[in-house]
Amino acid sequence: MRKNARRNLLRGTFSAAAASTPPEKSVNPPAITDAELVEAARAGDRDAFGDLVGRYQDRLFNTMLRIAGSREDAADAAQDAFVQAYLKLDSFRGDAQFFTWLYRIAMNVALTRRRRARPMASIDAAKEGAGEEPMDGSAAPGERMMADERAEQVHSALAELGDQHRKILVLREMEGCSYEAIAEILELPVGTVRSRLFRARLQLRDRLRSMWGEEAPQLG
Amino acid sequence: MTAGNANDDFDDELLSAYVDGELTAAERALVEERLRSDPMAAALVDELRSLSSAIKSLPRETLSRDLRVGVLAEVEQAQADSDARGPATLPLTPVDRWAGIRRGLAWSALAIAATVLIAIFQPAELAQDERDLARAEKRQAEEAQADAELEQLERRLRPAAGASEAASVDQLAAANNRAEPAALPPGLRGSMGVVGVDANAPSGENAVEMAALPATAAAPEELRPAAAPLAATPGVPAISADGTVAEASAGKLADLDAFAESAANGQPRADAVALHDSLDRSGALMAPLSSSPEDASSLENAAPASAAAPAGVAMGGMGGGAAESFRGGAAFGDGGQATVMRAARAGAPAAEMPQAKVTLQLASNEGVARFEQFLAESDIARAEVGEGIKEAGGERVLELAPRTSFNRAADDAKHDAAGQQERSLYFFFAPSPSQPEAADKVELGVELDSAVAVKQLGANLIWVEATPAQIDALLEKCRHDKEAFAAVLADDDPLLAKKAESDAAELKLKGAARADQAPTKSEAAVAASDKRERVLFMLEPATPALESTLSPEAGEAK
Repeated sequence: MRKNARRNLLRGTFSAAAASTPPEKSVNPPAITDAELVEAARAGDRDAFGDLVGRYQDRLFNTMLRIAGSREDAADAAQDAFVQAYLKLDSFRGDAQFFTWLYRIAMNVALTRRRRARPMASIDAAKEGAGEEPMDGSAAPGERMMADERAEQVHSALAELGDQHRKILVLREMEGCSYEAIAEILELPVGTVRSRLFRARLQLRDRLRSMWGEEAPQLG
Repeated sequence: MTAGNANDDFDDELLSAYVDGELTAAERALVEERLRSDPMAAALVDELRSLSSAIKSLPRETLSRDLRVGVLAEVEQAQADSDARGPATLPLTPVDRWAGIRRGLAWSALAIAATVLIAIFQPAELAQDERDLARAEKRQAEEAQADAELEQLERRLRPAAGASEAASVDQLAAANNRAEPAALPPGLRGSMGVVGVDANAPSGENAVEMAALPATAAAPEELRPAAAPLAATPGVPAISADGTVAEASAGKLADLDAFAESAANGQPRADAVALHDSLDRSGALMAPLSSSPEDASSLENAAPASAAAPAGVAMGGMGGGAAESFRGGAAFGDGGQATVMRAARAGAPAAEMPQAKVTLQLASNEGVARFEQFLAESDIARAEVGEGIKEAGGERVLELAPRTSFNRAADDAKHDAAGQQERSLYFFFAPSPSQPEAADKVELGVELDSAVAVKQLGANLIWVEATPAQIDALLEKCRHDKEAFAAVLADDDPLLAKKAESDAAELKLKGAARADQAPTKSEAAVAASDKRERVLFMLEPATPALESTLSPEAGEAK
């Protein structure tokens, strides 16, 4: 039945690269798994949920930043997603990864917030997001400026894409999600993920070309 | 195909998946062979890799605040509110909303025709619970502009409503008695009615309905709450974002303030699709909406109900389908929340499907042109529409014949390729994903992307579930106020009528929109027993006046 199909769907995982990424702000010993924290939170331990928030907030924030546009929107969207996740914690099944489940919620939060916002996430907002990025201290000043400018342009080009294309690119490139995980998060068939991702890339390429000119094919 | 090999059928998509390492061994071999012989393909791969690197190299930022503080504060507040509201407002016991459904006939017991009713739940979160209201309040400072707009809106609404406070039943009744309705704020017509149904509730017990009428609504007697007067439930009826009805009693009118509040907090709304087939008229089911943040969880919540359902019923939600911009009015009228909603009925014998037909009946003749536009923007092929909307017995009806097959992946790809990602309505039957082993069974379903419909048509689509008498009353009101340009519902199927003769009145539902058709005795009995019907109302879009009210410019001007 569909229930089982849904459960199977939820088993989709992030790629190894993403799944193995250590928590950036872990407040718990690594030995404590997400599942254990979820269980504790369900039992009423809010601090356990706080640990989950701490574990994933930076990562989710960075993803939302590329989707929501501005830093503030991204932080708010991430917070909303965590709150929604908490309120629905009882419905979280152990056969799904917490982060996968959280991401699905977050994507929907982003969509909802975006719709509420009168203007679309603007290029200005996108630039704001990119403009506040910390400098890369390892690069020489001149290189850094170029890198910053390029990052800003990539960010802007991403912001110009439609929601569907932007989301799928961010999930793939920034989160390293497997096609299967993307399919789960965005609720698409894997085949659609593949085709959409390809089209999203072509669109992004075209936008960057228009920014940089045809003579600059080397995007990286 | 790459440009250098325009005549072959090599799919460049493979190159993208190759870069991602998402190919099968056979596909990978194919691509590698291609790369050796096609410099353009190799160049594209390089380009895709560069693109990938460019995104990956976007700098990671650090949060300027620890979200734990805000998150825990919000959840604590939510918990406190929930506790304060008491157990009466919370779903306490496992419920089985399919109890009524199981009374129906098995799909396969009757052959041939099926009547499908598209049912869109768009409860505008009238019942956003107190937690959400608390959140809305908490966020006032952060969302000053939105609140300012809301206040501006409410100021417009209340005087127009002729009541400074929540419109009471009596006030509504009084409005009903007025010869002319009070002036309606432009665009408010989009708020005609919403209904929420507890996804977990036993059918007929606490499947709460709400009819949110504009304060000028002429509320007939039938619409008065049977159990609790509106005054007893001030503010917002408690329907959570996933459609769970916390306060269970039949027939609560939500007031205008509630609607405004729901627009204010802008929280995700429960959207769902129900599907009825005429054979047993009981296959209603709801699929939580993809665009709701609750989607994943509400799907999970819904799963037990699905498990309890007859084998022929499946549940599903579809993702994506995001309309990227909305008219200003839509932000109020429908909240811009709904995207793809889906209902499907699985397990039907495939052989019967080609004979299946859906009959939609337009509630108002004046809506024909708009509905035709709706169809034109939909994914329904002309061949499925048949003769189109035609007159039958003084009413406008549309018969649809489903396609012989439907492949979502292929369809998505097609739309993607054509740059037509937006479509508003699907009607299909397809090999049943829920019963892959049963090749002879198909799934009959409908999908409607209401966000797209709103965007394309500027209309508000609101699903109403109510008793036949209430539906009639709402339709009458809509006609009177010329709010609805169309409403669709399932026509009675002859087989259903035949079935009903032998299977008691409870299975028989009155043709809801036939306001001019007096209910039969049995139908009246059905209505009295709180049997509900589902009707999709398509309401006139917000007027420019309301759009300007809600537009950012207006907020800033203020």
